[in-house]
Amino acid sequence: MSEPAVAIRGLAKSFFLHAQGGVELRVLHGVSLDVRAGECVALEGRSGAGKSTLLKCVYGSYRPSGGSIRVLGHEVVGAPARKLLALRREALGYVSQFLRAVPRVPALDVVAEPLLERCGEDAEAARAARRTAERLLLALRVPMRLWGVPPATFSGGEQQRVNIARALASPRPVLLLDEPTASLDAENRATVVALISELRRAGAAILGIFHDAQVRDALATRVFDLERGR
Amino acid sequence: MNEEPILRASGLAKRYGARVALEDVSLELWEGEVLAVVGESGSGKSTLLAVLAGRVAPDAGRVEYRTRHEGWRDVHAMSEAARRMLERTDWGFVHQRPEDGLRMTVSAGANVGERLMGLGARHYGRIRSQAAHWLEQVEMDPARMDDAPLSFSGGMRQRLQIARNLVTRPRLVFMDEPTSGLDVSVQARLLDLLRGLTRRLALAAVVVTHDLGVARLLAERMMVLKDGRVVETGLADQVLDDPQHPYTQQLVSSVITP
Amino acid sequence: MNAPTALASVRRAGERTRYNFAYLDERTKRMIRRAILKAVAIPGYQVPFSSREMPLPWGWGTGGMQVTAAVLGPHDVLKVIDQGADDTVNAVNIRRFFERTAGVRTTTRTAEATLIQTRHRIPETPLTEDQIVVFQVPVPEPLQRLEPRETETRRMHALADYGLMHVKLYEDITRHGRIATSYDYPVTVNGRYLMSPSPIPKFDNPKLDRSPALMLFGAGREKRIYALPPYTPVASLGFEDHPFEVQRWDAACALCGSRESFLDEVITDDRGGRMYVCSDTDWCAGRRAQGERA
Repeated sequence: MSEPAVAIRGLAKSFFLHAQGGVELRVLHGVSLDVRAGECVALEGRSGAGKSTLLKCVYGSYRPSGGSIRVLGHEVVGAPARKLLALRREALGYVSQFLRAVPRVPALDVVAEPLLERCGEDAEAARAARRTAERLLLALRVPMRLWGVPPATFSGGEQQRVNIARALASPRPVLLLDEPTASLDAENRATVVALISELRRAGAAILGIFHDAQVRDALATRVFDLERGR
Repeated sequence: MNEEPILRASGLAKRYGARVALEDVSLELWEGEVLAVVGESGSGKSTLLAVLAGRVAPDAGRVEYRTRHEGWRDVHAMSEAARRMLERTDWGFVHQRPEDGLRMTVSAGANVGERLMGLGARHYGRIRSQAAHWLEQVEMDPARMDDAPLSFSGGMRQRLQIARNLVTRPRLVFMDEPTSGLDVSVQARLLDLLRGLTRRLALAAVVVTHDLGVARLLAERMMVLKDGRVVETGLADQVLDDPQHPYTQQLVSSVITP
Repeated sequence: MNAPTALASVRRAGERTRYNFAYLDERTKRMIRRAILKAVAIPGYQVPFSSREMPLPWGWGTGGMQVTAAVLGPHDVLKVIDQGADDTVNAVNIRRFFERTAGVRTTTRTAEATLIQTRHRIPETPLTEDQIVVFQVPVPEPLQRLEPRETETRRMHALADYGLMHVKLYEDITRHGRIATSYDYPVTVNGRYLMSPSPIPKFDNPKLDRSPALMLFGAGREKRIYALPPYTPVASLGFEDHPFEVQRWDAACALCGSRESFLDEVITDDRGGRMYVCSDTDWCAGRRAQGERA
């Protein structure tokens, strides 16, 4: 069997809150988990069990206290900043629950950004990137009149669809999803589920948190319970 | 893109009398990467920028820049002529106050074209069209090319300063609190512009700021300074979402998010 | 004039006035000559010197006079002009000064002179290798109006960082459609130093380029000396699409008919009548003597 796309071994994460006198908050106690290409593993557990924390450790936003995380063979724990940036550019995508709205960038450019980053000053490439973004926004039913508007004023659902479109614009082989359908209505949820399934079938390795049981059932090939360790 | 950094500093120290401005500061910066240097006043961040840009000599340590054709050069060991040449070609420096980086009584076009003229550009028409191009890049109306910055708002002056720096397509730009002192909406616009420009032009940049939001928006990597020392360093989201050092945690938690 | 006669006239001059030859003491002359040698060694570079008090106020040509005094010899033939004319008060006074303190022969004919002290013009008559021209300079620093700090201008000269000067020319074209400077037009000397040619009209700038004569510049108040050794390339600044241009007139000299010289405008009546006359009085007189007429 080939190496899993994501291989987590004995992952531990504690937060040391110095303002509170240095109290240690242990969130992850040694998690081991594999995600293979074409799999979608749904993380389960109570609130506070560390699901989001796990995702953020894989993405590199959080610094693990111990253990190992290998993404496509590359060690993430303790990796230098350059390495992580390269991984995020090429291999690792993250969709959070909400869009972090950059002040003045119009929705179209927010979606196209991962592609625009590679364009430099190539105007033709930039146009192609924006066309891709348009297709995704159409698929996610974001009204055209909103495409040139910065998403800060959008509804939660609209923002989230922009967020997802962005992740889909330049899909990575490994995708981390943190409640991607949280603020969406039924129709849009179905669309998003379909799009993510398509990515999975194309070979993406997906690790996600899905509160909605229907979404989880539609997407997940496997469930991993954090508290049970499997 | 070259695998070597474009700028590196090791063991920088600077004192002003008994006051420690910098102590044992080291860093590396790669091409096309934005590094935010964050700290409160008195942290040494502005001193660090001045030392990196060759404007203030350190008491200890070295700053080295990887030139286009001649390999690594010690920034403080090179002649003033060589450093001035770098400042005119490879480097940019965006001052906190745009007045410090502009000729206020000279037209915007001349401000932008000056570097070109200093490097031997002698065709008035071509200098003008270059100036117009860069004014557009910073979202200024080229029709204002013949106006002097005295008549510009603070935000416009800052954008003009940026255009003036970019005209020679520098590889490395130093920015000292580029958006402070401006109205919030103007700041947002300027940040957006800087973000777009650094990415499109693949600029390497060191951005000094006290504003964590600016750091998150502009930078991939971040460094926190306190009392002249590096207290924490990492990816911007690492430092902001999972601060390790007590001071960083304090800094992050005291930011008021709207 | 042969040697014994020249020496005799020098002695007579000295007896009459009890001054050293050409007024300045030998130590001062040596100091100025050292400065001149340095200036000649670095064309266009401003050499500081210890400017002396002269019996004329600052701003009346004391710098030029000190240079003249330092290089003048008993065999020299001196011409002094002011705005091209030998007969202005200033020119007459300076000429008389050297007649008295040096006893040298003086002349109004450019072709006869070995040393020409001038304010604001270069003679029209082409110069030769046997001639020295001494310019009176009010402001030696070409960048002064743009950058008043001397620390900065010194650095600009040291690093050949002259962008600011081109900014000024750019601004001129932007505001006036052309470079507005018509006198004291900045030049690049020997491809290196930016120099102020003194307030000569830009019409005269081409005469500086590769001139066979030695050109010395003295600024008494600002205490600077600079020089153009013979045959030095001197280029007036400009842009490729707005190049340096000399002044032109539609008229000819009303007295001698010259169409090649710098013309002064003379108002003849109070109804706006005017005529144009050669600024170089010797040139005009010479042409008239040869039968040229308007």
